[in-house]
Parts: sequence; C-alpha cells; structure tokens
Amino acid sequence: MISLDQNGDPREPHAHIDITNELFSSLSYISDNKVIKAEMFNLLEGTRALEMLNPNLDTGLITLSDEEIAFDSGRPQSIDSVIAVQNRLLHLLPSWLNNSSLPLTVLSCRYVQTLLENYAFFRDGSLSQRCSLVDRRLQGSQWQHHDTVISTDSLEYQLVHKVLKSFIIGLAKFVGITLDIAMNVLYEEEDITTRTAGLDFLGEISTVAVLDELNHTIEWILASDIESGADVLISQLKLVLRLNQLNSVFSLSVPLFEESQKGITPSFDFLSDGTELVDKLSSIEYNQSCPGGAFSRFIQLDRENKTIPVEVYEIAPVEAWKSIRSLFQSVQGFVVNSHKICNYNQLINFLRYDISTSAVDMNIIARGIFQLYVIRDDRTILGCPNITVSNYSIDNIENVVGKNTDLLYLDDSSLSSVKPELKHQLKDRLQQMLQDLESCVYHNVTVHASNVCRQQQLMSKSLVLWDTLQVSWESFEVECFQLCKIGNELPSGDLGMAVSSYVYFTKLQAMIDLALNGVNLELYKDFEIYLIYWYVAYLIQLIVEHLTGRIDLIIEGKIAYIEKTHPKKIKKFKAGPKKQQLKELQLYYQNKILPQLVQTRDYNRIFLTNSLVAMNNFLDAICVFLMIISNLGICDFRDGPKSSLTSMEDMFHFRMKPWSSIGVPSLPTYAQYINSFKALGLDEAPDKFQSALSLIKVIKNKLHLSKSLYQSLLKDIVNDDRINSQFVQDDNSKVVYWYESIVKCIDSYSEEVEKFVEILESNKNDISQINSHNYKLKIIKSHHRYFPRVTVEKTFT
Amino acid sequence: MSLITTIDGLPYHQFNVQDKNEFTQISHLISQHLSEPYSIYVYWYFLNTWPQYCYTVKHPQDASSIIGVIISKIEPHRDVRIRGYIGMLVIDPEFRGKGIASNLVKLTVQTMIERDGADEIMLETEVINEGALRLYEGLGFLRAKRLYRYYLNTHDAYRLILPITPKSHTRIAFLPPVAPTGLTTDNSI
Repeated sequence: MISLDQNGDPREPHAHIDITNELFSSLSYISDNKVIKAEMFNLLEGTRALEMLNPNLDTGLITLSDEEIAFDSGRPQSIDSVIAVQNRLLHLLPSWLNNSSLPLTVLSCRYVQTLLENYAFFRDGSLSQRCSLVDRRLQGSQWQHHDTVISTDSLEYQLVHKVLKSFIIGLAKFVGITLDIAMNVLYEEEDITTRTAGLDFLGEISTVAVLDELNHTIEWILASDIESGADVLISQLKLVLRLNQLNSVFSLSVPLFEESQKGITPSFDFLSDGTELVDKLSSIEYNQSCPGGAFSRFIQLDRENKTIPVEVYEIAPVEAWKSIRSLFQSVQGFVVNSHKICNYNQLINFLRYDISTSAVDMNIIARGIFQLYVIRDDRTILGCPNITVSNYSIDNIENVVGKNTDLLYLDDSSLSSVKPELKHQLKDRLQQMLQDLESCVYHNVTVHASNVCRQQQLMSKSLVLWDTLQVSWESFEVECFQLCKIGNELPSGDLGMAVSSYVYFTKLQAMIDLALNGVNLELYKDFEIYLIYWYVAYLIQLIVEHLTGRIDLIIEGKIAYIEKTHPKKIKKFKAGPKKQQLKELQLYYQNKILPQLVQTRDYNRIFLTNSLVAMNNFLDAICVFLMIISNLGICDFRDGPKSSLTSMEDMFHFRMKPWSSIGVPSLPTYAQYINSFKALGLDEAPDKFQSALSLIKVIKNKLHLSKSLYQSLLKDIVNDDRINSQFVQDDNSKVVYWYESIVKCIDSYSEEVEKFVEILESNKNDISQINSHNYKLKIIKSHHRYFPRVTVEKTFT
Repeated sequence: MSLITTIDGLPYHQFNVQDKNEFTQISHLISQHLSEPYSIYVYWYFLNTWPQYCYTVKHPQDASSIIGVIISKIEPHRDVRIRGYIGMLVIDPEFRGKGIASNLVKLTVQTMIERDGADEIMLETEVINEGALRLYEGLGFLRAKRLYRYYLNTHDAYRLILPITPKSHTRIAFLPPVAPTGLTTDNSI
C-alpha cells in the first residue's frame, strides 16, 4: 500500500492505493533470479532491509490490538495510572541506552509520540499548547463525547494534561540533550542508537523553559488537594528536572591550579538530590498498571521506520534505577574531583586513573558529558579560561621534560641573532609543529572516556600519529640547534631534544597501553599471551632507559643552566639595565622554575620510573613462568593451534601489526621471538627438573621485588608529599586501587608458582610427564585488567 | 549442484544458483539457527554474487536435504588486499560435533586462497559463542578487534582474521593498490 499523504492517517483505508498487482506484473519478466538493486544499495543496506511478507522483517505485519491502535492519550487518568506511566518511562529511558533504540523504548509510549507529533505540528503557541496530549487523529474521541462526568477541570484531566504532560516534556527534552551529546562525542550504534522515528525532541525549546514548566507543575501539585500519591508524582517530576540540569555542568568554569580557589566547591546539590530521588522512587512498590495500549509497537508501524519489527524493550527495574543512579554519581564524581585538581600531573593522573579505568563502568551519558565537560566548545580545558588545549599541550610536554623548554618559547629576543627570513620560517614551522602536537594531545584526551573497545582503536591510531610527530620534531629540533643554537642542552653540552623526547616517551606509553589493553579485551589467546608480555617488557625496558637517561639529563641540563650557566652569563655583563634584567630573570628562574624542575625530576625518578620497574619485574616473572610452561610442553608458544591453516610466523606478524609501522623502536623479529625461548637454556638442560627449580627461584625473586616496589609506591602515594601532591585527593582514590590490584595479582601468581612447584615435585622422576596431554594452561580473569591469572591444571582424560 | 568432495561419508556440494529449492532450504536452515534475522536480499547478495563460495552438506540418507551450509564472499578490501569473508555457517544440531563445520571452513579457505589469492579471511562472532571461537581459533583465526555491543542482543563481537599473506599484517597505508581482479569492491563490511 502506498500512503497518499504523509500527514494523513495511515489507519484510514482511503489513504492508500493497492499496487500489488502492478508490482508483480512489472516483475514478471525477471526469470533468471538476478538481484535488481540500486548502485548505492550495498550489503550493509541489505542487512537492514525490510522484506515484505516476512514476519521477522516486515513492520507492516506487526499486529496491534484494537486497544493499542485506538489508544487515546488525551483521556483523563487516575493518579495511580499516571504514576505507573511515568514510572515505566523512567525504566524505558535507561533501556534505550542499553543498546536499544527510542522506538523500542521511550517512543513506544503513545503519550510521548502524541506529544512530540503535536509539538512538530503546532509551530506557534506556548510550550504547553504546542505539547498537547490530544491525539489529533482521534478528534471526537469517546471520552470527549460520552464521558460527560469527566470535565477538563477534573483532577484526572489535570493529571494527564498538566502533570503527565510536564513529565513527558522534561523527559523528551532530556532525550534531546542526550541526542546532542551523542552526536558530538559518542559512537552511533556502539554507545547509543539515535533513531528518532523522525521526531524532534524539543530542540527549539530551551532547558530553562522546560525547568520552569516542571517547577510550575510541582507547585501546582503542592497547592492541589491530592492526598495520596502527590509525593511520588513530585519525586518523578523532580527526577526529570534533575536530569535536565545535568547539562549545567558545561557552564562550570573549574579554577584549575589556583590554590586560592581550593576548598571552594560550587554547589552540586542537584546531583546528590538526583541520587536520593532514585533511591526513593526505587523503593516504592508500584501496584497500578499503565492504561491498556499506552505502550506498544504502534510507532514502528505508524512512523518512519527503517528497521525490522522488534518487541518493546525494557530492562529490569532494578537495572534501570541502577543506571540512572550511576549517571548522577558518575557526573558528581568527576565534577567534584575536577575541582580538586591543583597541578598538571593531577590532571593527567585524573584522566589516566580516574576516568580511563572507570570508563567501562561509567554510564554512557556520563561518558558523553565527561568528554564535553573536559574539552569545551571554546577549546578550554574544564572551562578554565587560562587553560586551553594549546597551553595544555605545552604543559604536557614540560610535565615530562621539565619547564624552560627553549623551543616552546621562541620569541624575537631568542631569535635576535637569526636572519629575518629564517626567523619567519622558524616561527611558521614551529606554529605548524605545535598545531600537529596539539592534535595528538587532543586525540589522546578523547581516548579516556570512550568505550573500552573504541579506546583500543583510538590507541592504535595514536601510535601512527605520535610516530609521525616524533620524526618531524626530531628533524626540527636538530635544525634549530644547528642553524640557530636554539634548544636545551644536556649537562654534557649536547642537544637535549626535549620535545622529541617527550613525544617518544608518550609514544612508548601508548604502545604499552595498546598492548596491555588488548589483555583487558581478551584479544589474546593462550599461545599469544607470552608474546604480548615479552614485547611489553621490552618496551618498558626502553621507556625506563629513556626516562632515567635522556629525560633525566634534559632536566639536569635545565637545572645546571639555572644554577651555573646563567649566573656565569650575568657575570660577563657590565652593570646596567641589561645586567639588571638578567638578574631579575635569574631570580624568577631560582624561585619559580627551579622548584618545578626538581619536582618533575623527583616525580619521574620516584614514581614514574619505579612504577615501570615494578611492572617490568612482574612481567619478567610472568614471562619466565610462561617459558617454563612452554619448554615443558604444556602449551608451546612457538606453535599455533594444531589444525592452523596459517603459519605461526604469519600469526606473529598479524598480532604485532599495530606496532609494525613504528620506526623507533623497531619491532622485534620473529626469529628474536623464537630465540627468546632459548635464553633460559631449559630446552637443552640435562636435568630439566633442577633447571626448572632454579628458574622458579628467579620468578620468586622477581615477584618479591615487584611487590616490594609496588608497596613502596603505595606508601609514597599516601605519605610522600612529592608524590602525594601529584594525585587528586580522594577517599576512593583510583590510583591506590590500581596498584593494590596489581599487588593482589602478584600474590595470585605467587600461589600459582607454588602450585606449579608441587607439579614439578610430583613428576621429578619423569619430567616428561609434564606435557600437554596431562596438563593444560588456563588463563582466567583476576584482580587487575592487565594481569589475568595463569594457572596450570591437570587434565582429566 | 556439483559434488566437491565426500568426507566421512557426507557429500559436500557447491551451491547451485538455479536451484530454488536449495535456496529455500539454505535460508530456512540459517533463519532457524542464527540469532540475527536476514532478509532475502542478504541471501541473494551472497548466493547470487559468490555461488562458488557457498557450500552445502547433504543428508547421508536424503540427498535432497541440506544439513550444513557455509556462505562467504571475497572482495578487495580498501583496494589494497583481497579479503575473504565468512558470512554464515550453520550445521543442523543433529549433525554437530562431527567436524562438518571445520571441513566447510577449510574448504572455503582453501578455495579462496587457490582461486582468488586471498590475503586474509575475516568474520565476526559473539564473544560468548565459545563453540564458534573454538572452531575458528583452532584453525588459526586471531581476534583482531573487539566490537562494542555489536549484536542486537547487546553482546560484543570479536572480529576474527586468518592471516594468510604478508599483506594481512601490513597496515593499509603502507600497501599499494591491488591490481584489478575482476572482484567487486565493497567497503561496507
């Protein structure tokens, strides 16, 4: 049937023309089973295509009851019915966000559909007039004609046309806000599905007008003589009101790094109130059911719909309340903590530990709100007027290599001896280089609040970006030094390459994160886990060398410049304005820059380096453990699956693909990987049992060393001001949890190693009995996302 | 319908594009046992374009009855490598555990390599589908990506890839365009 009029009522028979015969006769000449399709209609379109007369795919075959078809949203209702409708809508809202769509959830409610259709139809008038609940297609409905007892002044009428209407206006506006957030920062059909059945969720209406509407209705209920249920109605309206207030966090300007502002936390009462309202509403027993036909698949049949017929989707009430509660709590958590940030390290650690690690549990809308909250439309960070993405990028660099990075502050005085033409060229090039760097830093910030799977893809992209950046910055820094003698020097007088060193450090970090996040996503099979840990251990070795080597020297070079080189330079000048100027600069260096350089150096040495060394010891222990398992033949990591249709070498290269394009450090070769198993000498050992026991000692030492380092770090995080000051002060510190979880994993490994010693002991007379036939390797989730438990079990064959 | 091989007494055939009954049986078997509903267009898209990559296994006692099917396609991926794609694989529950699925995958992979020079073969499966993961990973497929909430039932998926040539483990940006192959290009999946 073809509808004659888009605005007409599809339920009216005269609104359609039957073209069935014409259609089939026009197709009668096709006899060779050929697919007739438009050029643009590809497989993706095809998987979403509707198939006529197939009940699983043809929305036209949806059957509705008479009650559902003729549902009258304008009909007055009892207070219990209105409460029930509002309650169900509060469950359908989080149901939408649980991988469903609006037509299957919120829009399955005829009240919502009618209100939004009227909003689209009536272009003029007040909000209340435009958002009528009277279905224009049911003009002259039964209750208007025959139920003369019910007047428009009745409570039942007001409950629908005032209370329920306001509630739906609030709910629809919040859906609209969520759709806006989704369009900006969330991933369609991953995080959220934004199909709206062609309806506009009050886009033209301001949030203020919606809040006014809700407040007026709450006041009306308070002034009315509703005895039973008024409290619930008000709580439901208030909850929707609080949801609409969530986007007010975008106007918060966080006074980043301003000591004088610390302790002054703006009021976020609406967030805690939201949580309390959820607790209250979730504890109520709702006895009354919704009016028959109020929720159905009507919209799937009635409006624009490009998907297959699906039942109305609703998660369990307990899950729904948990989801809304988590929304308020997540937003409150990051808003309150962001107001405690005192320095750049705190900001970076906040993103890394508080946000990135909890993204998996964070409510989807909260994740979206967070991204827009961190980087605002005006490119400021957390709305702080002094901190833009540009200076955040520069501070990111100096947070690693220390303040006073010459190249970042090129001005006319530092270029005074450079020819004008070259000066312009350098400045232009620097501008471009900084823009590129800014894009990479921006990219990294967007990773934190993405869903865990998307994080992996963004990190993979990040490797290419940072690798390209490193190449361009290295050549730029060398050129600047060779042509103009600009660039920080190491204590030896050699060029420090400060920015490139930061870029390399960040790239190595991204390479490590990408590999370990794959463990969290369970991307690696048993036979691959050794490869990944082996590779990460190598990368950590490199980053530690870089941190304790060049980066430490760059900072020492900067300190030496302030303490030795610059004072000598001042001495050479005769008394006068220039000398005075340099003396003032020296004072600034001594008082402001030097303490920051020392702070950065100490943080790098005490925290960053030790945390990496601790992890490397742990990884070394795991690798030796896995190598013993492999050498004894329980699971040979040099072979893929027995029936593999491809080679182990191809599997090695495929697994390492994300890192394969990196220039420095180059990817280890397959031969190096295979040779790594020979390093322990277990293969050729005359007494494998004794050799294995000796290696177990190595493992235990490494585990012990790692645990001691982590415990020492945990103490430093709490007690050492140099470290403590680099994390946001929070009772539920994620960084403490992060390291405590790793310590628990080390304990688990120690247990597994002891169990394995028992296996060795029980087979010491015939070590060949430890093989894949009698024992199997199992990898199971443990306390930390990067370190699942590796266990060897006896097989029961 | 042409007989390709017989394994353990079961005949493996290539799909016959002219046989309407075969098409009906295949679509029926799939819609019965796969959770995602497919339109007739999807079946035709695969079966009409790549009939050479649809294999069926017939009932040992009833040659007109299909008990297993694999449907695949092969195309240049982003114009730089030849990618095979296993779209659907279903075995009648009564005949599972006999290695039929494994044989169908092997047959498909082998033909894709020999006939069209596949660089890699790809598919998606639910993260909780242990049977499918065991099957494909046992044949060397690796988990390339985890796809967030990929299925209608909210489950994540793994994208599994069987790397065959060095092209499969080289980033796209570093690969030259493939020479025209006569295969159609589709970047949609």
